[in-house]
Amino acid sequence: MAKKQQTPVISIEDVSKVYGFGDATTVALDEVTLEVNKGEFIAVMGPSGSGKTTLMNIIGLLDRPSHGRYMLSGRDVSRVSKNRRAKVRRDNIGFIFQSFNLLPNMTALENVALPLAYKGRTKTRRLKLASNVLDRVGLSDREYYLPTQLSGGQLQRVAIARALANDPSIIIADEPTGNLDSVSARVVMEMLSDIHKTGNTVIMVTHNPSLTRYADRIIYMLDGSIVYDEASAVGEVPSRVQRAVNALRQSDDDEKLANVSAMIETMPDSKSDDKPKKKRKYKKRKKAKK
Amino acid sequence: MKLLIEYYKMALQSIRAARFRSLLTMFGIIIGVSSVVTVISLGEGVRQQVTTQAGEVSDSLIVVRPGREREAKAFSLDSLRSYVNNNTGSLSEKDWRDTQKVEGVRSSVPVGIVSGIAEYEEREYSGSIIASTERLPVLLNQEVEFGEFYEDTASSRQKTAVIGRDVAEQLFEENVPIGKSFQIRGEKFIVIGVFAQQDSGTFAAINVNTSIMIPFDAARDIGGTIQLLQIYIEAAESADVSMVSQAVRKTLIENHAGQEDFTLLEREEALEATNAVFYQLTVFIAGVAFISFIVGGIGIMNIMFATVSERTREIGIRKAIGATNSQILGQFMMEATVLSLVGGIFGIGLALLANGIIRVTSDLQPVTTWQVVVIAAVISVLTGIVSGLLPAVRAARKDPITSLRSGI
Repeated sequence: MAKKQQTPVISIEDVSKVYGFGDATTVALDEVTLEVNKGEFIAVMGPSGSGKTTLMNIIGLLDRPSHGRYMLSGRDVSRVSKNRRAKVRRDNIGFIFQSFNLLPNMTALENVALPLAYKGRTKTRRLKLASNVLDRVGLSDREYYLPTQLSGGQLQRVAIARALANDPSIIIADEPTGNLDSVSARVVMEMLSDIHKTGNTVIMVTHNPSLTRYADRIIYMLDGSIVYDEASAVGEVPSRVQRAVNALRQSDDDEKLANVSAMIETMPDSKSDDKPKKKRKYKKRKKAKK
Repeated sequence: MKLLIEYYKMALQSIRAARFRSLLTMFGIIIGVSSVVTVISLGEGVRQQVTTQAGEVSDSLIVVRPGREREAKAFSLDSLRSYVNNNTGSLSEKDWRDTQKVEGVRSSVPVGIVSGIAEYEEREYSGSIIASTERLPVLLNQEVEFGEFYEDTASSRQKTAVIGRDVAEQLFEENVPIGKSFQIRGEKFIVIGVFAQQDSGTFAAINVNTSIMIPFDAARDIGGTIQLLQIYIEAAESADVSMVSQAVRKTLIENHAGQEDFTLLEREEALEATNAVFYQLTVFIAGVAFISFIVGGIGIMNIMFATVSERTREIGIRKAIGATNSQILGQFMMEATVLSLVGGIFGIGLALLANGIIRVTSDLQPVTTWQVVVIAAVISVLTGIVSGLLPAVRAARKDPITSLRSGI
């Protein structure tokens, strides 16, 4: 890890996230410790159910850790109120989602201006700012289009513009290219890369190992823990990642089972009572192997 | 304030996005507000007509009615008549004659109902046949449009009649049947005057339009019973009305063997009686209004709940990009409020339209005061706030993560 001399933007210490009670307890994050410095571009990888999204939610202040401490820009935010979290989120964090999550009845410009509205900017001011940001993602000619009138790549660029609108220090992108064709995906990734170059911290969750070439640090998660964490030169896919992914592909039956259980977990209407058991069983086996 | 405007804009946006549904939601409020405003306007119109009329009668008027207190305050002649029938009229001709002699009384005018039916050729008319004297039109503030009213002098025993418009049209089938004669109890009466149309309908104590007025003496001459429904007493200009009223009361009590089985109403009391009726009417309308607002409010609440669960994802997105719980709360509260306020405004518009139609198509003159409009608007807003509260709280409490995961 480089740049140790400055205060990290994000400093997570022994953060755990536990869902449920008693026998039905699921450990989504297991004492994760992570420091992120300003200006890093981190790719977070790992199979479904490995805790990536939970980690992102905690970093993005959508969720609070069950245990542990989360310092954002040197300030402890792990125990602050919902309202406070919303404000910190508004001012410091920009979200980019796999499914874009634009509001369907608002134009591109209004979507981008929305975070500024919550900040209390006047209408003219925020539309001007939003217009500038849209211009930055190359969509100044699509300001008055509704989301239904835009292509997937354009939608994601609008979403990026929205994430940038409040000039946040951290951009969290959860599979930003997951719903895009390869050309659009490339445009979006180049854009994220540009944002990174202007000094923003970018944390991106991805399943696609080739996208890690845009990152300068790669985190690999498994079962709620960070298993690899290494710097990588921008532009190359590190061999360890490749190997990890390959290993995942040639996993034994146990791991297939784990993936199935993880899949079940991510299914929206899975019964909450059967997922923790499988998960626990899997964890036990894992530990036994060690 | 700035925030409120922000919420208002957001609310307008989402209402516009679901125009049809919003309109349907507003219907409860629209119908509630419009019906309430219309009915109140009608009531206000009538009240103004009644008070104007009473106001033009001199301030020195005292009304004597048979029976005690409350019931005697009933202000329409029909209700008074049925009341008298049940109470065997306690006022006699002697009472009337005696009140004329009381000091400070300028004139005393009887209103007697003559039993009988008016006949003309083959037609019959069963309106009120009223036996009275010269001053009655003055005290009623009622003009004679054609011809003239009979006088108390020598002519008072002559069998003459002044009739209302309705009588002219129904019995004689012409507008000005002056000089024509008709029969009451076999006696011939000659029409010498036709009253001008009485606008306020049956709300005044006497419905002139359906009345046939004949001289009191003539009425006695043809036999039958004359029931005195009321005696109008006009105090002299110099006299103090309440003093005269006391004197009249004393005289009547003497006549009635010490019993006060009649009621004296001074003008103000008469107005009070009228106002009391309108007050009851207003309370009743307020009750109906309350119910309609509850129904409308429940409609809004219902739709807001549906909206909140339908827009779970939107709520998640808004929260993810930094909306606080109170901002989400404000947005949805404002949406409900705008819905019901716009509904209220539509309702007021509809009521004004209905009032216009009523003015054109009937004799009634609805009056919509600005107070009614403001109150309707304020209650609409309150309805929105109350019915929007629970759904908005539910929206605000939604967990952003699960909300984001839910489908659009």
